[in-house]
Amino acid sequence: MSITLTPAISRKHFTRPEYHFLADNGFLRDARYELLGGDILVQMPQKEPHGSLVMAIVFLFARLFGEEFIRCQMPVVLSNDGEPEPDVVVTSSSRSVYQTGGIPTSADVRLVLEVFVSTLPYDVGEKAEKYAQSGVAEYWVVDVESRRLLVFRAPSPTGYAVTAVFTDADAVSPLAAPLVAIPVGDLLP
Amino acid sequence: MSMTLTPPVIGNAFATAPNTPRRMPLSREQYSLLGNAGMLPERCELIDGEIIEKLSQSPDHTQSMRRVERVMRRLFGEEFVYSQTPLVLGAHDEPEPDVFVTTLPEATFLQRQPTASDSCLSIEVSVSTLDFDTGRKASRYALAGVADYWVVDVESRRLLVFRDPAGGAYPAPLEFDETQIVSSLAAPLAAISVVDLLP
Repeated sequence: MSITLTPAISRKHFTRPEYHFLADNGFLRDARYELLGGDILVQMPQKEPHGSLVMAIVFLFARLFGEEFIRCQMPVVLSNDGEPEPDVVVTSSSRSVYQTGGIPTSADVRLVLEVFVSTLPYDVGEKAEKYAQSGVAEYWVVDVESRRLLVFRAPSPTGYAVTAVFTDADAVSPLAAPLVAIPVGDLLP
Repeated sequence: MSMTLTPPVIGNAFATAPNTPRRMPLSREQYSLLGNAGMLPERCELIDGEIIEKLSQSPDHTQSMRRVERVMRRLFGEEFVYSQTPLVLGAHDEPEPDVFVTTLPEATFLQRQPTASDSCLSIEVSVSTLDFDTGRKASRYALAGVADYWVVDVESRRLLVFRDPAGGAYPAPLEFDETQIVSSLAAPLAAISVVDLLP
């Protein structure tokens, strides 16, 4: 259901402290949530082949980047009103840093990857914009249905300046590892 | 080793499916927890699990609301008329109607908040919120079974009366212009001039 709010009315946007306050008080336990653009979003239950594919990419990335730099469906701090839990994140520091230093922020993120098994949702562009606004260097969307990889680069406050589509015949080098070419087919089932 | 392709720039027009992420519907329990912690906006209400912030109240809204309140107090008695205080409609709805009328004495509500079944009439004054008040908000009143829901449409100088909720919706509202007279279901013999509700 979408509504158009008139200027006299607006939906309250949640901040990270408020989001964590709800969690600390025993809410947000009945499902998985993420905070994006001030909205607390309910995450869909995990399904297959999404889960297996995410894990395959986690292990592939662990080999390429080192396992201590990979996070899977863990929170990333984008801003004061954004704390999503992307499928895969490649960080610039190793795990031990976050163990004591807290949740990685967008500045710690070298690559965010998300897998969509069925048709891409309308908010793919919106989500990309949020990652871009917080300065996430590179965002990949694995589009299983169309067997392609969407690559977003050059973040700016208005979105990613570079968006590109690669097919399963292509190979793509992430900015975080420019000498490595990852066959797009390796990211697909 | 193959190299990165020159990316074709095609914009963000990838998506084809409806939004899958869903906003978490906030419960009244969570709403009151946030309220007690001072985390709610100064003026807001809970509608369909969303905290709706009321940003400003225009002078004509204030005056219309005062007039509605005055008429209802005269009609139903001081004790039964509330203005901009919480009315519990359901697990995810706690609006603060501009005016509502209860059927029980105020001592009843020392320990609990009035609910939809304690109220015989709810009135919203609409200045710039007509779509919301007659749309999404009306549907929440209908779901809660509120028998008589009125929207004072200040801009068009008319009153919209929503009645007979069925299946979570009201049929099209009755419309009364400022020359007309209306009465509430709770006091069918008491005539109210629509013009007395308008600023």
